Amino acid sequence: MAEFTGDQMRLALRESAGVDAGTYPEDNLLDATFEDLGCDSLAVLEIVSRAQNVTGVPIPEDAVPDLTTPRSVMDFVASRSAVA
Amino acid sequence: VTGRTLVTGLGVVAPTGLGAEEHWAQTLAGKNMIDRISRFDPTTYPVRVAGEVRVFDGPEKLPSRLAVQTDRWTHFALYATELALADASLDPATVNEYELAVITASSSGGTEFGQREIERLWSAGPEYVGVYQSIAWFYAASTGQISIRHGMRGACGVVCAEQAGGLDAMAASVRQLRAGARVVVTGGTDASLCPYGLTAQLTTGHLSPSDDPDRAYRPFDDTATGYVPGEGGAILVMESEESVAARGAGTVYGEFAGHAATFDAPPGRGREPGLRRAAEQALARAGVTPDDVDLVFADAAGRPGADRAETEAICALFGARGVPVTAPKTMTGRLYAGGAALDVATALLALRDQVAPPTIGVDRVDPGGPLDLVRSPRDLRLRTVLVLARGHGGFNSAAVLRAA
Repeated sequence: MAEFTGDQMRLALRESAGVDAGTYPEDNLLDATFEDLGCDSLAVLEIVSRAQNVTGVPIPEDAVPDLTTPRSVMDFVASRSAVA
Repeated sequence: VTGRTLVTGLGVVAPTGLGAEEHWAQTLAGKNMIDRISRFDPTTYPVRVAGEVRVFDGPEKLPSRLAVQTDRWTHFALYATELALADASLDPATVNEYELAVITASSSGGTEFGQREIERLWSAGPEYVGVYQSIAWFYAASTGQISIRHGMRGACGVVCAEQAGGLDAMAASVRQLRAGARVVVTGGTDASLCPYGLTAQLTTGHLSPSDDPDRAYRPFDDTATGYVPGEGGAILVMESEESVAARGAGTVYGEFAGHAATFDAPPGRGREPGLRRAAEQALARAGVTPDDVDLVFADAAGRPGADRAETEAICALFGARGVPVTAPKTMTGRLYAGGAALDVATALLALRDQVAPPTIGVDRVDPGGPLDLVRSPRDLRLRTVLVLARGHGGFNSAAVLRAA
């Protein structure tokens, strides 16, 4: 089963969106909303596309608006991968 | 509104340093900042020396979320804007956001960013191309990011006229001030010292193939072999006289008093290049005659034909050895969209300190020749300075700066 791990997400947030410990506290990073993390819509697309590329699990564009936190992206990948 | 246009803030990011003062001190010292390219291995390229911004830590100074979305050329512009606003003691939040305009020059867009994404496209596939490519590469990206970051919602624009763009962006800024803007953030930067950016520049055939940083760029020398590319530029805060008076702005570097742009006829038509006409019209618009000009910043193409054409244009206006001429860009290389913007910043510092900065690398140019080249800092009574710029493809621009 494909998985986008918490560590991979933290890396994605840092490298793809410029969110680091300096911009948001580490402990609840994954459950903060992208909005609170300062990620604009392009930044969310970039993170979603990275999760897709890393795991091979397709994330359709129309699913993206519901992915409001880093964990929701991770959960989406896990659920699709379980179905497959 | 037809009052004077004043420059109240300078932000420099250049091979000569970060900030106007560091740049000015290095420029007066006549230190050559051209060196072997270090941003990538240039061994297999026909051009191997350049003027790099070596000490830039802008990405660390910028918000990280913004830094990952933008090219190095925009990092330069954003950081230079911060410096310029601080220098002008201007907090944009204190001005009506619709009276704050942003007009910059761009020549290559975000080539380094674009190269990374093209590499991903060809090595991994289209799904690996990052979404920021859509906003990072294009010419207006720096203007847009400056506008967003500082809440400047007045007129925004970008001018692409290669090396002449810096002056043309400032002229466009004057038009916005006359149309009611209070403050314009203007100028230009460039950062094309990556394999893709450099390769694109090579197509002109005008870059110097020399490996010797001290001999590669030697304008007005009959044996010149082309110019050296550089990166960086300058961002200026321009204000209407009313705005300066109303907020009691501290430093006024000088007045952007006149500008004109012309375009060359296609090669082979036998028509005079447009540089002289641009200079003449700029002087007329500033209400001065050649006799009033105390110093000329030359375009200094670094190619014998183009240098002769500039020498002829200058001599046609001022007579042989009729005015001191300088080209501090001999220390940095030509910065494209950043070049003329930096020349304006340097010219304003010259007006402030009443000293003409030197031209280096011209030791073999006849000291008795038709140009009175400033070869070491020269104390002068400076009231009016003419800045010349030419962009590849036929652009000519001239700007007249006057002491405030």
